[in-house]
Amino acid sequence: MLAITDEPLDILAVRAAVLDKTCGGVALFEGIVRADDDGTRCVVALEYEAHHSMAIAEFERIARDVHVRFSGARIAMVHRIGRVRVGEPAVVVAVAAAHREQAFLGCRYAIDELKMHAQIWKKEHFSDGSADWRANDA
Amino acid sequence: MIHLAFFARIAEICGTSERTIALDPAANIAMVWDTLEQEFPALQAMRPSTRAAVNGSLVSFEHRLAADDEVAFLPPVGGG
Repeated sequence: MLAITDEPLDILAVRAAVLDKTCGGVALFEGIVRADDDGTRCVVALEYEAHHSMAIAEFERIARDVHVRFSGARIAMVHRIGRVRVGEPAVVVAVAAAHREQAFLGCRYAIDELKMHAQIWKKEHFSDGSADWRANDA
Repeated sequence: MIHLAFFARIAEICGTSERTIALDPAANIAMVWDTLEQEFPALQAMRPSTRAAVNGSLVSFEHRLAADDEVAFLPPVGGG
């Protein structure tokens, strides 16, 4: 399961997509919209946009990498687009492996790669009604 | 013709997420961007951080265009 959706994320479905009988551990990461506060205004929601085909191609590249680098680990990754409110997950990554170390490492690798390379953008919406696009740190 | 796709802040500046333009046989991506900058001066500040993709693959601004190419202009990413 590698997907981009405008629906609320179903975390258990993402987890279920990677489970099989060879799996001894699943690492699950949820990226949650946080109420960042700079002292004058506070984030109330993030609005995500994607180049759908390029983002999915990047997810597929990450999935192949995770499989090769982390002993055949299996991954599912779903990112939400549209408006996501504080407290809701914007992205869920599940990595299953025979042992926990490969699951943890694969999950960490996948979310880091997604944040660096997937063609997805976010706009911060603030409590005072203002909004601005926000890039990830390089 | 070539098809342009704009995302995030670039789409806001251009006021649209897509546009079709006539293909100049000698055109590369830099020339297309320069034309857009003339129409939308706010794009100038975006140039150093913008990447381009043709038909889904990242390319340099020197990349030459062909008929029916889809050119995407991509600001710095912010997923996750």
